[in-house]
Amino acid sequence: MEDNEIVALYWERNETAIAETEKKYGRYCYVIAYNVLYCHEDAEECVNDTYLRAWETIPPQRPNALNAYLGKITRNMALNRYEYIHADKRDPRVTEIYDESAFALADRNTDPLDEIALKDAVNSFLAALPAEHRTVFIRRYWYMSEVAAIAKDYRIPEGTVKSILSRTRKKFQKHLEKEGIHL
Amino acid sequence: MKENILMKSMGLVDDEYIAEAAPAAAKPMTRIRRKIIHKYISLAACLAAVLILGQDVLVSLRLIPTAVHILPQYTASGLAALMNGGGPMDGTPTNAYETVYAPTGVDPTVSPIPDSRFTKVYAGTFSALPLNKKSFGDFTDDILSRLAPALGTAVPAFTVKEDSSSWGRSWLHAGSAKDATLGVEWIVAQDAQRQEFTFTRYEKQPMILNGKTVEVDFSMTDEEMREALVPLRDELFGIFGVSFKDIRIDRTYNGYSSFGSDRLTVIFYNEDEHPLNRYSSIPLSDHLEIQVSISGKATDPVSQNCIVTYCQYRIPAKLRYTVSQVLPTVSLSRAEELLAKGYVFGNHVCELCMAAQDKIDFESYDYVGLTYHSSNHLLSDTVKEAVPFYAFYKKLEDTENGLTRYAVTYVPAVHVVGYESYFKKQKDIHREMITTSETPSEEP
Repeated sequence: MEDNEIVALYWERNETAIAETEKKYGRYCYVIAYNVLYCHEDAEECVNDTYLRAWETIPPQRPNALNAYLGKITRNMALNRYEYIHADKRDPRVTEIYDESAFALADRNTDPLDEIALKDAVNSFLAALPAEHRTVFIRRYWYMSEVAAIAKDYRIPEGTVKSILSRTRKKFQKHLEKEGIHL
Repeated sequence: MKENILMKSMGLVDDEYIAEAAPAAAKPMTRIRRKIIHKYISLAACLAAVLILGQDVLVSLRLIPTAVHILPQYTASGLAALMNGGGPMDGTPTNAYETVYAPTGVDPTVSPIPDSRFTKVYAGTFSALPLNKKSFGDFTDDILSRLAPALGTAVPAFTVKEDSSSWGRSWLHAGSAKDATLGVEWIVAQDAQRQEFTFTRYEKQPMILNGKTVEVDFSMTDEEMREALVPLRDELFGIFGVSFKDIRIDRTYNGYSSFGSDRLTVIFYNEDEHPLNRYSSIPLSDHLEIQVSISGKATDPVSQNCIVTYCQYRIPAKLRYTVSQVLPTVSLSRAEELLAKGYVFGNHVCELCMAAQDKIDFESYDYVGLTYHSSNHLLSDTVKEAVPFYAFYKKLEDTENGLTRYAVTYVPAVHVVGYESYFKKQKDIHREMITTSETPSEEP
C-alpha cells in the first residue's frame, strides 16, 4: 500500500492503518529502536508505542514521508527509553557514539531561534556532502548503526567508514562555526 | 548543563536524508536472505537450547548456584485488590475459588501454559479519544439500515444524545427500550474507547432475522452449538458488516436455574488480534456476542432473554494493551506448593459465596492452565494491568442436564511477596464471615 493511502486510513480513523503500517514499516522501526536499545522486548515495545503515537498524531498531522515520520517517533521514543533504563549506567556501545561526537558539547539552554539555525545548518551541510558520505554519516548518528554494519551494507572496509565519519565530523564542526553556531 | 550538539542536530535532519539512508536490514527481505537468516536462527536456537538445558543440569547437580535475578513486583494483598477491581490495598479478601461449567465428557476450556521461563505482564493505557458524533451516527445508520430489513421493519429514526456517566465520563447514545418501528429493544453507545450496538429480545418474544431465529439451544454440547449457529452467525455477520474466524462458548452458573447453567455467552472474535485474547474472558478486540439468560424451569426450554452485542473498539487492541514487564515465571511445581498451602485467589469477592464455599482439595486437581486477570492499576485509574495466573481446575459433579461443574482457583505465575501475612489475615476474615452468615436473624 502507498504511504498516502496509509495516511488516509489514519485520517479515516480506520484501524487497518496500524496493520498496514506494521506490514510496511514494522521492521524499519524495529531496527531503529533495536540499534538504540539492544533489547528485543524494549524495541518491540518502542515500536508499539510508535504506532500509538502515530494514531494519536495523524490527524492532525499529514506526513509527506511516512517512513521518516515513523522513524523519528521511534528514535525519540527509543532514546527516551534508553535514558530512562540507563539513568545510572551507560551502555558502552551507545556511549561510544556519544564519545565520537564529544567535540560538540554546548549549553542545553538553547534558544528556539538557535534550534532553527541549527536545523538549517545541519541540512545545508548534509545537502553539500557526497551522497555516500551523507548516508554513512546518517546511518551512524541518526540510525545509530554499528560501524561494522555500515561497512557491510555499503561494502566498504570498516577503516573507510571510520575515516569518512572522522572527516565528516570535522567538516560538520567547521560548518557550524562558519554558520555562527558556537559550541 | 551540557548536551551533545551532533546528537541534537540529528533530531533536526530532514526527512529525505533519513529515508535515503534507511538501513538495508529495514528493507523487505529477499528469499535468499530469509533463507540465510533462518539458517542462523536455527543454529542460534540449538545453541540456546544447549545453554539453557546445560544450566539446568548444572544447577540440579549443584555445580553452579541458581541464578538469583528475581525481584518480586507484587504483594499478595495487591493482587487480591487487582482481582477486586483494583480496590483497596488493605488485604481485601477473595473467594477461595469460582465455578465454571463444561459439557460432560468435554474438557473445560483451559489455556495452555507457555513453555517459557519468562512471562509477560500487560498494561493497558486508556488514552481517551474525543467523542465523535459523526462516526457514531454513521455506525448507527449503517447497522440499522441492514438490521431493520432483516427484522422485516422500517428503519427507525433516532436522536443522538450525550450524557455523563456517574463517574463523570461522557458518552453518546441512541436507541429505544420499546421501539415501535423495529419491534425490539436496541441501544447504541460510544465512549472514549469503543462503540457498541446492542439489540435485545425480552420476555420470550421470538426475534427472527431473515427467517433465522435469534436463539441458542443451551442444552447442546459446544460442538453441536458451533454447527447449529452457522446460519445465524452468517446473518449477524452480514448485518454488522464483520467476519470473525474464532468462536468461544462460555457457560456460567450462579444457582438461579435448574439447567446447571444460567447464562450462556457465545462470542465471535479473532483470537490473533491480541495475545491476551486467548486468556481473557472477554476479547480485547472487536467481537460479536450472543448472550442467553436462563431462569426458567427444566420443563421450559426457552431462554428468558437474548441479547446480541457488537463491540467495535475505537483504538486497536494492540495499542490498548502492551507488554509492560517481562518477569521470570513461577514454576508449576512452585505454584503447586502454594496451592497446597492454600495461598490461592478465587477471582471475585462475594461474602455469601465465600461463607458458603465448601472446602475443596485442589492438590489432586484435574487440569491446569494459564490465564490473566486484569483490573485498574493499583496506582492509576487510567491504566489497567493484566497479570498471569495458573488456573487449577477440580471436577466437582455432573449436573442433570449434561454439564460438569468445576471449581477453579488461581495462583500467581509471577513472584509475589507477603503470602503468609496476607493469608493469615484471610483466615480470620473468612471465619468472621462464616460466623456472621450462620448467626440466626433476630427477625421472625
